[in-house]
Amino acid sequence: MQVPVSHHQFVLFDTDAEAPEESIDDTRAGNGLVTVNAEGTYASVMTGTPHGTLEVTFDIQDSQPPLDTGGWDETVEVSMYFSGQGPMAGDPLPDDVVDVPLPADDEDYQWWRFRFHARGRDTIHTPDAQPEEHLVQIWPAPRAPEVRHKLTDQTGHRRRNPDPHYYAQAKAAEAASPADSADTYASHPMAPRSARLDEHT
Amino acid sequence: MLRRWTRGAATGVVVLALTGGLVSAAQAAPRAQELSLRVSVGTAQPVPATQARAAVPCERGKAYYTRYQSCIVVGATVTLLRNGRPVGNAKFDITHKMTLKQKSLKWSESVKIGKARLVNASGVTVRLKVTCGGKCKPDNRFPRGRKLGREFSGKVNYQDKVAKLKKDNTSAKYVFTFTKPGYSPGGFNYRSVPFRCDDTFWNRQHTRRTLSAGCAFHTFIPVMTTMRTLPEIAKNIRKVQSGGGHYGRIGSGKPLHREADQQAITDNRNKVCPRGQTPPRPGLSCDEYPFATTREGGHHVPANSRGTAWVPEEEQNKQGGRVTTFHKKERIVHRDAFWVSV
Repeated sequence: MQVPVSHHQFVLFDTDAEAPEESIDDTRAGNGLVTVNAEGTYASVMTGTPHGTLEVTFDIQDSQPPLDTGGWDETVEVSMYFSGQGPMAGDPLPDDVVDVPLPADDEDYQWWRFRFHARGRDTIHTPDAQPEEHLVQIWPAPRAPEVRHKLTDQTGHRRRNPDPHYYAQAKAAEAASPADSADTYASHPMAPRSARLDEHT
Repeated sequence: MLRRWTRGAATGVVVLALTGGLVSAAQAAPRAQELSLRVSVGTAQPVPATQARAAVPCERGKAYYTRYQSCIVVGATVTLLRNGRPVGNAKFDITHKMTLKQKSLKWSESVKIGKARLVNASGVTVRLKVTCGGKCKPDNRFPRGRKLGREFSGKVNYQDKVAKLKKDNTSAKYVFTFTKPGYSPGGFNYRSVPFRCDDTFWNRQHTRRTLSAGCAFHTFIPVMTTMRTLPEIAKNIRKVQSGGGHYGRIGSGKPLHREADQQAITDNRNKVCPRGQTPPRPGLSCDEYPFATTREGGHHVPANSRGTAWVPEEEQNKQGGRVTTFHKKERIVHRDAFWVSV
């Protein structure tokens, strides 16, 4: 299906789920394709396409499908936590998202395995190249660590190997900035109030 | 360092906060009760940064607030009169601490009547009546029948209802009545900081929420600081903010305003970062400021007040997540104002 994309990503997330915070070190240590929050309720899939829509196939299975990375540049598997409502998928900025229902009850939360595949991230500006495409296989499975099956495109490589000068700049910017600068307030005056009690005569 | 904000009247205001730093807060939607240009002089002491982040300050004669917390302290006097002459008085502070919930339509407030200085004024009973407008309903647990003298406090619980995709803004009204046998009652009233509950974060088909309904002090203008650690994006923002109308820069009087309409966002983006543009080298992405996701994006502000830059894709990625997080954490709805601090 056509999934909205902006800022080089499409996102899979649940109501109230929060995006993971990511430092330059997290990116460097990451897989270069998908970032998931600690709760497993928000995943950001990095795309070559900056904005628009992408063809993403969601292939939902009863059990683990055989691994087939042929024809794909990047394949990464992670665990995610959703009910039968499944994730909303797309661009969360204007909430331009579509539903991806899963085979379980709406109130029934459980762990799922999500195997992300991507191709064509590098060639979006190459005329006549195959368009960027993604495949997400999903099946019910207990929570397990991330597995990186195949990492071969330049888009992912750049993320895992930032330019040293740029890396230093990013580290310096992170060191200079407090984690949460919430020390601003607004105010307005509250005039004193008075009441008078008159004795009955 | 503690930074103070004071909202001003119709013509816009610059206020020098005692603790240092120039703070400006001219607003698009002025509030009638604000005073005009004034220097904030007072007895406030600088608050260490760690303490400052914990909670809003409470200061007599002031309402302080952030997006979700407020503290109001009203200095109150009750005067007893006989034949029109004052024969006694009670002086005390009333402190209201209200905390709204980002993801709930239920919240509460504590109301404290401070220790009273009594001069021939014993036996004065306090009563508090609370109302709020729109679909808001208070559940007033403030104790009845208590007298001025020793400090005492109570809670008021609130519940609001808001229709799907709608907003409901109102404030609480506090009506205090003081009574003493043999005297006619007297009182006063005032209002809380206005708040707004909304249920506007839904998916495209409006079948599922992306964020639960909740409430915020919507007249507080939040500050986005998370662009600071994206070096190339921050550089571009700094450069653009330094010229023209300085849109989004604290002190400019021109905050950014969220644009939530998908088509408007796409139009904004296409005007300044057109589709099909090839970056000068792989791995770069066109970044624009003001953001396409604001009313000031695209060509809505003059050319000298906007700009684009080629930034690493990875920064664009992070920016997307951080802007979304900011909208949701602060409940920034369509047209809400915010600052961008780099």
